[in-house]
Amino acid sequence: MIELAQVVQAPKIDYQGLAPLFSTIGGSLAVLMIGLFRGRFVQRTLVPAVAALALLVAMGMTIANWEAGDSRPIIEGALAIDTLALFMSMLFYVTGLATVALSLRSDVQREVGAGEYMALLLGAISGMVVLAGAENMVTLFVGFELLSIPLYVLSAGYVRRAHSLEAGLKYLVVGSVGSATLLYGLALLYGATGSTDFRAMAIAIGDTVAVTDPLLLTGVALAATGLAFKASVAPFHQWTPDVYEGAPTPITSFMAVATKVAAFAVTLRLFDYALSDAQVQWGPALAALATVTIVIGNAGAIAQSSLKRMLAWSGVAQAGYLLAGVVVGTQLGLQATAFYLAAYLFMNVAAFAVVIACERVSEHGDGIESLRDLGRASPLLAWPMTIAMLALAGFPATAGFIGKFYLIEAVVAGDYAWLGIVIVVGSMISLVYYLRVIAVMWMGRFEVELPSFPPRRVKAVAGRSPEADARAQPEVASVAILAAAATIFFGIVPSPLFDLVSDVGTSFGGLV
Amino acid sequence: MSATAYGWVVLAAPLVGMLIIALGWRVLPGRSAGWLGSAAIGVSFLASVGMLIRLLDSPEESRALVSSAYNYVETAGFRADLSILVDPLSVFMCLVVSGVSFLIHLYSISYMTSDQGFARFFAYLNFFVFSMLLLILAANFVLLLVGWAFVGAASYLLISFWYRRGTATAAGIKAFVINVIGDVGLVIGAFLLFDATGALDYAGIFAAAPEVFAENDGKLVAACLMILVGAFAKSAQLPLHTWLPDAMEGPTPVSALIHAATMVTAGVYLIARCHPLFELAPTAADVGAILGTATLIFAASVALAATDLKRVIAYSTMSQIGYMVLGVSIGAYGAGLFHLMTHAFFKALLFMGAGSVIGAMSGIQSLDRMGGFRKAMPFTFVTFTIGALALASFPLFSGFFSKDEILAYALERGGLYAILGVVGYIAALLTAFYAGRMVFRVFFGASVPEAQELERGQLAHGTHANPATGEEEDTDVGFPGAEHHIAEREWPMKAAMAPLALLAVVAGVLGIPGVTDTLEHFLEPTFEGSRFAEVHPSTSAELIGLAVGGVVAIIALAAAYRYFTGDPQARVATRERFAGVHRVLINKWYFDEIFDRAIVRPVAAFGRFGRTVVESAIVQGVLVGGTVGIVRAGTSLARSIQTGELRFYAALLLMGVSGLILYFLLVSS
Amino acid sequence: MLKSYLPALVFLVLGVGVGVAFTFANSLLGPKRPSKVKSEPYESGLPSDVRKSFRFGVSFYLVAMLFILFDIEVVFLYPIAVRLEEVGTFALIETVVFIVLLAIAFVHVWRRGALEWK
Repeated sequence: MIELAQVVQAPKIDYQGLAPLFSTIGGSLAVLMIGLFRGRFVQRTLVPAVAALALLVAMGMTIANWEAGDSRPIIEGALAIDTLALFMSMLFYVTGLATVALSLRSDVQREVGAGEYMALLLGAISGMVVLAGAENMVTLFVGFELLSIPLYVLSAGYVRRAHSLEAGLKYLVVGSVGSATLLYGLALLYGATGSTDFRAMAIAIGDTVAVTDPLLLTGVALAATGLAFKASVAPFHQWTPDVYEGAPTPITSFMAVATKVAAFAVTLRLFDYALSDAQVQWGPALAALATVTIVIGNAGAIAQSSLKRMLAWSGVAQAGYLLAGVVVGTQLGLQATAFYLAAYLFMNVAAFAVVIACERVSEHGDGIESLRDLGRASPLLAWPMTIAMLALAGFPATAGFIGKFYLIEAVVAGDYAWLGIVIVVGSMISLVYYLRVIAVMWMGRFEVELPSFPPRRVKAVAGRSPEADARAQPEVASVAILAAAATIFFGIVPSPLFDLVSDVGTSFGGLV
Repeated sequence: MSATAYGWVVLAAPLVGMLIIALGWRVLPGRSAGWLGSAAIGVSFLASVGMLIRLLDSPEESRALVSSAYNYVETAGFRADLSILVDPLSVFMCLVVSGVSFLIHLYSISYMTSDQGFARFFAYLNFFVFSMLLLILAANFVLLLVGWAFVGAASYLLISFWYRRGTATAAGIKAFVINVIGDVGLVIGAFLLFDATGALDYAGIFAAAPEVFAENDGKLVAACLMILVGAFAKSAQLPLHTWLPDAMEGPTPVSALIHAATMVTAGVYLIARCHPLFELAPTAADVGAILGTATLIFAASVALAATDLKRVIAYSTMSQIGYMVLGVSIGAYGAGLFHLMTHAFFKALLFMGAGSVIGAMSGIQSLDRMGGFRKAMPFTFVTFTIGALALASFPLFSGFFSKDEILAYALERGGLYAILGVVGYIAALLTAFYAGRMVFRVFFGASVPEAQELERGQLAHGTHANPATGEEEDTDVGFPGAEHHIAEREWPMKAAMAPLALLAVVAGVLGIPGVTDTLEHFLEPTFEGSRFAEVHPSTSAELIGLAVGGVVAIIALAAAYRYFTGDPQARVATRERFAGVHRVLINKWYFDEIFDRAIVRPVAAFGRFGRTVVESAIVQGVLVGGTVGIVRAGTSLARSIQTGELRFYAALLLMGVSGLILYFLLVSS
Repeated sequence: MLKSYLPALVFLVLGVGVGVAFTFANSLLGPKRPSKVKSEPYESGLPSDVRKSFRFGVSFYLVAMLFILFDIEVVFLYPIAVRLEEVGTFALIETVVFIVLLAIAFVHVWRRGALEWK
């Protein structure tokens, strides 16, 4: 009995390290409560302001916690912070802020309720932060679910639209299968290594457990599947276009960026840290997945006439590039992946912001037609979109170029030169659909040759017509401009980001 | 201010000028865009002088300064700084480029007055100067490549400046394509060097090269040959020369600035800059020397027969750059760069004079239509003649000293190089002859109607037409402006030509054998590590060379005088006697035809084959139909998996999981 | 190790056994005199007319779910209550946080009208 009492001894908690998480969770509760009050001011101004404040506070505390080197536990045996976790957290907060701004005028907020909407958003961000800092497979899973469940709800944000509901339901079902697979994989890993703790797992593999142990490798396969699902890596990407298209666009942009960052944060930690000794075994498998993903993503994106679907497919292809950085399992690969994630954030936020601005006023919705002649009508939106497209295609002097260059350098240094070639070829193919967007914006008369698909227009099942009142949208435009500016800035002056990611590279002590 | 601070100013001034003109052209009144652009280049020139003074102040061993603005990329094993290198070579080049550019800007203010694209012209011109200076000051291959590609782009913009002229846009495209071939070569060369030495900055590469490479190491030779491809494409050397004559479609100041004085010498600069590498790879250097010599004799022979005044000068440019390439390839760096400088002076001057004459001819460029301008255009006559004499290396003119120094050096090194030197003297004979031909046909002989009109104080007004095809044109934006301008009536043109004429006469004093070696001495710190630093022809050998060169020039000029001012019947008779030779020359040795047969037509035929057989028969027949069919097919494939139905997704998910598990289980056993 | 679970097993067997015993004891031991009136669902009142396809209102599920949620969550308080002294202040604070969270959820549900029967 006395032994038991010692087991439930209070864990050591580093409250300073935990502070950002307190901020987001506290913010989530606060907006939930504030959102109960009616009134235009509360719903339209106060709730988003509190949410943004929570994110800013979390950001500040994260910066205060920044320190290169090995990880420091914040809840013993469950959560730790290292530069990788902090860097990824920063990306989550930035995306969160952008999403708050993009949602300001979106009627999805009114439909769900501003308080609930922001609370779910902050909840998902908290889950991501937990996921990025997980030191232990149990915490990993808790974070994973904490991030997923709010997103299932948010994807179905337009509760009166069949399309949005379909997206939410699909995401829920496929997502649950993914979670279950992940959990099964984690269980097998526990069975093989006898520990849920990453550090203990890393020590056990190759020491007490052979790297060819079937139990271990089956666990790796299942865990990889679960994470691949979240990161929309082919062939587990199928939900992506449907869900991205159906979900409210601010949420799509959040999912496209933050979820991917979170999935890669934990993939990096699980594979490049806990399982790094088995790299010889899983490396080729992940490399194959990356190749398939790059091919399928780019092939799928070519024929899309909906911008959201196109960006979804492009996100699949980008996941392939990112996975290449994980494959090599080196410090350089870790840095390159972290760098590309940051670049990916800016490029995608800029693109989605423009899509949001245009779909609100265009009769074409998120069809590529909605951008027609945007260069003349609204250059302040056309330029960010142009920059985003060029950056996604890897055009020089953008962050996308540096990121891809870095990734290729990492895979070549990691003896996966052929994967570098795949990345280059994939980028070349991607020009087809990225440049088409640019052509539509700047050459108004340019006819887009696309196979005609049955229109999948978003129909209101009930209630008022969507988003007719947004014409002037300064906050959306500023998000687009800021993100595009960051894309260019880090393309020309990448050294600050390089400094950050070289700190991130020190996270996993043992990596070469 | 330190030398490197001046260096940044040199770069910043034309950039700022370009931005102001490009963004503010709507509100800039009258000719102010031109003055602004000229002022920017003037500042650049003054800053270059500042660099020179600072450099001369410092001791010789510390005359190579690198300044880094910021670090663009730094990852494990790769770094690229935005950094400039200020050393005697780059300062020398900056002085030549910014100085000549300034005068040409000044000239352009008059020359382009009535053009509807006046401000656009100066924005492009400033952009070009900025790019060229960037190319020169770059301290590593990355920045060099940026400048290299920028000058190619600027050249394209300026050749195609009259963008409604079909011939001009075609010439621009041709120039751009060949320049891109060169860019690719240079990129590959830089990559090979980076791969072997792990550095991209000059200092790092040159320091590592002797340790990494053995003499004539295959990889190094390959890298140097690739650099040569870049240099030859930019400098219009055989066989990548075909774009330069066509580039004369651009406005005449552009021909003077880019296609005579500055950009085309970038290749010479590059070889001189990379001299430690070429000295380690003598094979590559020999290739450069031989091709340079081939170019100089080839181009000189074509210049004999060409009838378009600007094209004669263009071929002459190729030929003179051939001399420079020969010089820097055989280790005569000082001599090659000396010739680069004198050539910049007299060739820019020749183009300016030609522009003035073409103005008087109201746009006509054919030598056959010109004659007797001596009295009508005294200023142009004097300056053009000075330029031609310098080109012909007439004794005591600047070209006399610089060209003969290269040839004397070639003879001194003996063997193969002596043969090249002799070829150089033969070409010098041709050079003097065609230089004479230009002067005598344009300014001597019977006065053409335009000249007579001008003598009466009337500038000829012809129809506005494309000089190459005779097509009628209007004078709106995209075509040349309504008015023509001649140096006699525009003081900025005179102000630009007079200093150049002076320099074309006296610039030789920087390197008179046995008397002065100012330039050589100044450049010494850059080339002091060279293994040819001690190779130097004796003063007496050089003086003999000078004497030979002078005699050759005088004989050729005298022959030209007799031939072109004498009986026209005799000319026709000679031409008919050597009809075969003349045909070869007038067709530029059939180079365009050879290209056409060897490359363009096979490629086109292959394309036709692809379209008719592969595409229509195989693709359209077998597949669904054309490229659209492929997209459709790919799409329908993607769509057939992307049904939107959940159970398919779940099925694929399970298949994926099974595949992955299967793989891992196979690995485990 | 396994031995410590023996009491639990005994408890389980006893629990199931007693339940089964009482269920069947009645029908085994009691007298049976069935009649028509007795076999009706209710001995008094109207027989209900519930059809197979009857659907509960969505409010029912909502309330039922909320009940389960709050009911089950509170169960977590028991183990802490038992061990509070050993674990000390930390557990107390944790418990308070937990209850506050529940309270916030409750306030939200209440204010949002999920407890109103519609």
